[in-house]
Amino acid sequence: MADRNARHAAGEDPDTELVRLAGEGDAHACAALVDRHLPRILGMAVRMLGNRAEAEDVAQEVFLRTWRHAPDWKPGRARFSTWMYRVAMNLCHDRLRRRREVDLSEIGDPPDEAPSPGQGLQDARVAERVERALAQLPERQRQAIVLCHYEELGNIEAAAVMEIGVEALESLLSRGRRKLRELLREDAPDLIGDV
Amino acid sequence: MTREPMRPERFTALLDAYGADARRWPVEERKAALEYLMANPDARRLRQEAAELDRLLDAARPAPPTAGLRERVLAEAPVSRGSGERRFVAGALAASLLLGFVVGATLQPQTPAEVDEADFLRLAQLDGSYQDF
Repeated sequence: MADRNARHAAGEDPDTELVRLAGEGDAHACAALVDRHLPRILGMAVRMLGNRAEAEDVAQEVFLRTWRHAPDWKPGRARFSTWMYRVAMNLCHDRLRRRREVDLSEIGDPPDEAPSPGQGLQDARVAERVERALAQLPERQRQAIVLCHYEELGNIEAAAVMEIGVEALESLLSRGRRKLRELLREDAPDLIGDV
Repeated sequence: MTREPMRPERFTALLDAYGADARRWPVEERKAALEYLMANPDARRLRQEAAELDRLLDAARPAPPTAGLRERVLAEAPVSRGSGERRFVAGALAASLLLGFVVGATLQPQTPAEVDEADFLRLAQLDGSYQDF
């Protein structure tokens, strides 16, 4: 796991030069930005939405906005990745809100993520239960866990993405992890043991 | 500058929020938390419990982006002026070839006197349309 906490503390934005070049239409820089961030953005959206097709739409939209904003990006205000994650989270939030408006019964539907070909049955079973538990978390708690645990953002950057303070982030993380333990203990006591 | 020693309740709060992996802990508290961990068996037990939830969370890893999604994303990426110039040059070359072919095919069976004004106008319009290419 890369130590994003330390990099953020050092005030570096590893994307600054890539974004500048992408804004000038440099194909290699665009590809490098995609390779660096598409897996994270997609993973974040899959976990937030529990639906691969919708998550891919979100990822595409994030990059459309990236291409549009890159020429005007001013380094120093925030890391470019922070802006991208915030856009992704806002797009996921919009979709979740529309779902609630359309059909309340869709809340908490199990994710449709299929196990990868090499994954054993046991792993797939664990993954499915964890995804189901994640989908049942309140949206803000899920965001916090997705950003800090899965996307491995440092606490300062994760809080910036969510536009909250670090203390509020920690509170969401603690409540989210506690709720996950409860849900997994109910749904899969064989998995969680005494946690 | 002296650093505050880690308090037990703060160590527990770190585990509750960030889990067992020290790389997820806030960078400014990490060293103190690790020292506390080394010195306290109870802290190691608490960390083991947090690690169990971490392992379960790690079981849920979405598949990586497909090549198709990567292509779709890159298809919308901006194109540099250099690339645009290259495309313009290629387009202009293609247009010249087409124009040459049309002119050749049109003029070959005719003597210059036979080329009427309408042909020149048609060719001029064709030529003009490439100026906005």
